[in-house]
Amino acid sequence: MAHWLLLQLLINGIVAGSLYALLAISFATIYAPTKTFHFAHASIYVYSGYFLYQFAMGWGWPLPVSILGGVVTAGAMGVLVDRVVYTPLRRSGAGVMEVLLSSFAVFVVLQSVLLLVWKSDPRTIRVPEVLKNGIPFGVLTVTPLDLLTVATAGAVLAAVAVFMRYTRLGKAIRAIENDAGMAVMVGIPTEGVRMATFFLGSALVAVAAVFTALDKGLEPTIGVQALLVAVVAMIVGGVGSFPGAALAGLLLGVVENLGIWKIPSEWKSTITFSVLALFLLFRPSGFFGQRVARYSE
Amino acid sequence: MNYFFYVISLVAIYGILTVSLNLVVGYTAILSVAHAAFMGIGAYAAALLLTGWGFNFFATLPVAMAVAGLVSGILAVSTLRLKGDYYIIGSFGFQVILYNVFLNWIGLTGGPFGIRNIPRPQAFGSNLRYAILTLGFLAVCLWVARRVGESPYGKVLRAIREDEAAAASIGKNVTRYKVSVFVLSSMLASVGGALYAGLISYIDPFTFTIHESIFLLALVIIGGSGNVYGSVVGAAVLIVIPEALRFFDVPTTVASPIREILYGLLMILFLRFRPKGLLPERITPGMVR
Repeated sequence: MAHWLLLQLLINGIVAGSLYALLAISFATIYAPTKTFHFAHASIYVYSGYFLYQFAMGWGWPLPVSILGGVVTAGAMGVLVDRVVYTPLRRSGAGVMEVLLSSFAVFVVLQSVLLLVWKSDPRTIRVPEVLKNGIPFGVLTVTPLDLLTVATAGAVLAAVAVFMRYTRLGKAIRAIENDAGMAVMVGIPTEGVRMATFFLGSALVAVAAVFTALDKGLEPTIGVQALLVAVVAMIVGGVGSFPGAALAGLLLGVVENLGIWKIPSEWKSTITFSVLALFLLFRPSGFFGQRVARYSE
Repeated sequence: MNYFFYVISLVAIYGILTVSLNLVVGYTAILSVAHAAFMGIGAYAAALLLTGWGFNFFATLPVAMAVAGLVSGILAVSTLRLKGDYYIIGSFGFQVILYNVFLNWIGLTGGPFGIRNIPRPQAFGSNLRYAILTLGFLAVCLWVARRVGESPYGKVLRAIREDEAAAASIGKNVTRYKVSVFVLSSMLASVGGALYAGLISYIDPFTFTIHESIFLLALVIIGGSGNVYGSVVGAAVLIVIPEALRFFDVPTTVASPIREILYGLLMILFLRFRPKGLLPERITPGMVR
């Protein structure tokens, strides 16, 4: 009996992990080139879920249109946060620390506005029955929604990889990540690219949020947890390595879910944190990252 | 009048929390989002020892400080030796976990129901007396913070803030300074938490969230980072103004988001237009900048 249970948990882990991979990539897309620790990313995550809710349940749009709407609105919101808060702050000569502090403040403000608009009760989004009816494979079950989640996450991740490698914009993003000063010198319009990274990162986090919302519903507080997963996966994968972050996200999902076998599910984030702690102690550069400098030994 | 002294106590307690956070954020430029977790450790340690073990209030403080010091030391050693954003990430993760521990370790903490009927020390039962007690602790905390700030040790902290590599290059063990100030700050925060538990007489996990940590950061920034008196002013302003909301007929479900929006916006505006805060850091004579 234990064997199939473990296998079922592994499947659940892969479903969760594919979304975690998206989370990690979405955070890294913004963090790597702009060096902005965008804490309000947690709010963008929650908002995209609530946008979906508003479009699908509030205004009765068809589900695919609502999903697309949620993703695009979230992308625009990310750009807006950067343009209204971070960029003016940067231009006024503030350092990295001030921008980070402001991102905490943005998180708090957005979170509270959300509470005023949508209240704190949990929300669920009505999904066509077929999506949630489990398909049995022997003793194991998978829902079509799970399959759709994994397929979408995989497709999106592949698209991002192609985009980063082969398009002009993707190359520009990587150039800025590598050396922002040099990027300016060779004539890359860094401000425009910055806006693109915020749009892309926010849209990516929205994809993860949308699928989570369809499956598990919404609560105003889910953002912090998601951000923790994103950040931990980025560290474990190695900062600056997109494949590393995606792989680490997948791994984190599997580890968390296998952990449920022995550990109650409310300790999920403790498992996440333990993984982080182990990596910070023994391998701070993650799987594929560059060596992290220490100031003193 | 009783309510007035209650607010005074609250201001003093948040003063202690903010001053202690300022040691880390203002003096040393280490950004921690786990301060509420250390406040929580103090509050839970005091509450558990008081209600379950019959400890005297003042006897709980060394225990609370020891636990907070130990835990913060482990966190600091593992994250502060790395450069970059690692300590932020470490403190963020730690904050989330500690909240989960408070919430889910029901056998110890009472989980979401929290701990009720936390007694105050006998000699300080009334709000007036409790206000005097908390102000006394605030005074001690300010004294410690000033002594730290003006000592050679404090000057090294500021040197680390301005240029970490330069501080290391003149032979200062940067990691040791960062870890020690972080531990000191967390121990002071645990005292603030213990006093908080005594004041409210009831604690639950929802007080010690990351929102509270960010609130404390906002108090440091708005008061003036690097100026410990500014921290007290910041705490006074941001505690008293939302308390005023009580006199209007605003339901709590609306009042608490409004409070958060208020300090969030203030924090953004201060960072943008007055990054030195209400009381800017004063440079004492003999301090090289």
